[in-house]
Amino acid sequence: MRGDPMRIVIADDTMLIREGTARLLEDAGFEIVGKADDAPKLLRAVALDHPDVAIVDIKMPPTYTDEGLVAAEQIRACHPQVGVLVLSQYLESRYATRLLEHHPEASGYLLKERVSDIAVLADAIRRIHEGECVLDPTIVARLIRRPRRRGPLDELTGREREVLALIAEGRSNQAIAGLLVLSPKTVEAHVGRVFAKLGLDESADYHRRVLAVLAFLRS
Amino acid sequence: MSGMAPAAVRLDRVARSALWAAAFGFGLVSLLVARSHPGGSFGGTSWLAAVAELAAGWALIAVGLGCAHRRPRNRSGYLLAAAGVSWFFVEWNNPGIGSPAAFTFGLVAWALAPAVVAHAMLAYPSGRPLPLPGRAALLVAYAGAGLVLGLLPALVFDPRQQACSQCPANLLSVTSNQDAVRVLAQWGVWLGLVWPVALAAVAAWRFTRSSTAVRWMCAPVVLGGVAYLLLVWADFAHSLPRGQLGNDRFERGLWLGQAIALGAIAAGVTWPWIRARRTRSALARLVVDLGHSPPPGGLREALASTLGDPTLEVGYPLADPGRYIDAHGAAVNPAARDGRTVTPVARGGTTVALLIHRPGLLDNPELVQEVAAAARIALENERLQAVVSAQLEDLRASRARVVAAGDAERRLLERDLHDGAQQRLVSLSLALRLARTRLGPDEDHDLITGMDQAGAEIGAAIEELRELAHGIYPAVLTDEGLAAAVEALCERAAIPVRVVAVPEGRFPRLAEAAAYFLIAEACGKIAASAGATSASVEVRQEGGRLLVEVTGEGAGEPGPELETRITGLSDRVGALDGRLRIEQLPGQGIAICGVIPCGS
Repeated sequence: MRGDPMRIVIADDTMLIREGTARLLEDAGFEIVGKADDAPKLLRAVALDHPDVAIVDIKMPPTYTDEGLVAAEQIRACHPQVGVLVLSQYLESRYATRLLEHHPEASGYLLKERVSDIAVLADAIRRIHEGECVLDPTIVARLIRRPRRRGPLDELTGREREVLALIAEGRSNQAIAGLLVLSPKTVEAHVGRVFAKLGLDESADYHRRVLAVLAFLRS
Repeated sequence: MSGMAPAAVRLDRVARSALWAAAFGFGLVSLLVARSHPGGSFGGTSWLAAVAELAAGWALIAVGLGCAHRRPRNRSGYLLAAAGVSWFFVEWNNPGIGSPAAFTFGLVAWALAPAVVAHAMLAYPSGRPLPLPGRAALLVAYAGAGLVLGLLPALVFDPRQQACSQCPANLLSVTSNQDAVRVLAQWGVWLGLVWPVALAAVAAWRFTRSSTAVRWMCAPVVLGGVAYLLLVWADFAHSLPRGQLGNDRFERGLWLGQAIALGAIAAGVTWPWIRARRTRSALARLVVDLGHSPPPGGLREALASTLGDPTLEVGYPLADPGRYIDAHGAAVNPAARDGRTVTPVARGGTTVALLIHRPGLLDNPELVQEVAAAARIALENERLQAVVSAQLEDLRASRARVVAAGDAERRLLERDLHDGAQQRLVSLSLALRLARTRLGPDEDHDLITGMDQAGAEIGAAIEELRELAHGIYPAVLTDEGLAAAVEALCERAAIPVRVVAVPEGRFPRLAEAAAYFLIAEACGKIAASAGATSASVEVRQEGGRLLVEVTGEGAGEPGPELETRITGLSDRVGALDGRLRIEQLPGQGIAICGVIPCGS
């Protein structure tokens, strides 16, 4: 890890998961600056410690429904420099859409069980810190697989759809090139065609990537 | 009457006719007396006065005897008739009367009328004995009018020695004392300033204290009576300077007013009879109307218009005592109706219905009997219908409770799986991962492989658990409502599902669940049916109902298997008083349509 370690706040009402995740992240070179077991404590920790990324469980006391999601939206609105990663039990893209629609940058939505897959978790945190938008691969796969009627996504070739799915997972062009065993130039060409077919004109690259993900979510 | 022997009936009839003849004849004779010597009379002064005198007296006698005939045990009728007769007494102390016996009667009784009229008014309508203040005031009135103005001066009045040459002899005269006559007249006037007011006050007090029904009934009588007493008082007040009552112009005017007040009393007594008669003829119409078997609630309308009370309500008793329902099966609480009168309609000792109506509408028990007789079959029919619909409503409510309880269990189970089992599995996989990172690179290779396999198994278990929990009761339905849940459903469906429209708002939990499971089940069934290529879902909110339509394009015949599966759904929908049907669309597939009340 280059430079200072990334500063993380973890909010989860289950002590075992909170502490376990913290241990795994510390082992992987992150600095855990705060831990919280409910939304108010999380917001206080974020305000005091200015972490780089807050990891938030979607269900927290008192109602165990979407307190984590609400808190994450609040963090993105009040502390734009803090990225958020919401961990959730739910596969439904609805919850992810709720988070990413309003604050698509520096936000991520992963399934809860990813906490034990430190590689995925660490990668997601880093990419969120870089301002990207990360969606769980399982949700992406489900959205790709789902039967749909004709729409702009039907214009895409098989390869382009693969590329879009990887963009939605938050992968960089370089990572996509590695995963699909293509040259970076080819990947760039694919990405350009995806943006064109989805009607996303020239703008900052990462912004277009986020818009592409949203188009994908909404389709 | 039925218990009497024929001879007794005949005698009774003869006695009654004699009573009528005597009372009316007395009035005629009194008028003749008055006209024989007009100067000392009231009724003899003009034709108008003659008509007023006869009309007032006869009217009271007629209504009094009519009352007595209707309710022989109630003495208020006889009192009214007596008041009518006493009205004529004032003419009998006329010097031109000729007969000493008649003149002597007149000397004693001439001032009695106000006391008897007041007595009749206070006794109306029940005829029961008066409370103490009423009795005391009446005693003073009778003493003032009958003794001080009547008997006592008669004892000391000798017409021949006291300048009345044409007067007949006074049979009661004991001695002659002109001073005593004057003093007694003076006393009579003073007393007369007290008792009419006291009697009017007692009447007003009793009126305000009586029940609303009684007030409705006797208001005209009390008003007429009080007006009469005030006119009597005015006569006494007018006579105060003179020291005795007389019959000057002003007093004849007052007397005419009294005649009108008595006429008002008589009219007031007949008012409930007229009303009852009107109600009876309306009841006859009701019987005809009810022949056309009215819809539920139609009987209430018919009774309300027949009895002339648009606010009338009908309550039918249920098996559990104290519970009443209307024709539609909705609960009616007769106790919670302030200022309303509740009249039970009974048949064979059991209450068939309660009529809740404005006070005084049905104060006559015979009238209630007639209503019961006229509307009996209709009431009975409507009661049975109402009981059935109340039972249906109870049943529906209990079905809804069963479904609600089942849903609550499902939600709880879903939550337990997510927050309990799934969290534990995540913790377990995390613990395994931590243990795995603690292993050095030179550890047993089999151990590492085993741990990785265990991790993968836990991951699979988490995934299966998630699907299971979602199938039991989707959390997104609880958290975000129907539209979000349907959207999530489309992500899982085996064939493309197009959402045409789903209202975004929240609905009662049971309605949302019924609509959701209907759509989920229908989509599943359509997908499983041969040839189905896609499905579309449309939910519309219309007048407190959710209209759900799931259409399968290219789907085959519905078939009995689909019908069986849909039965479970129609139970859920039916519990909310909704409906479900399957339609075969010619050449296009099938449509499963549900109507689910959502109360908003």
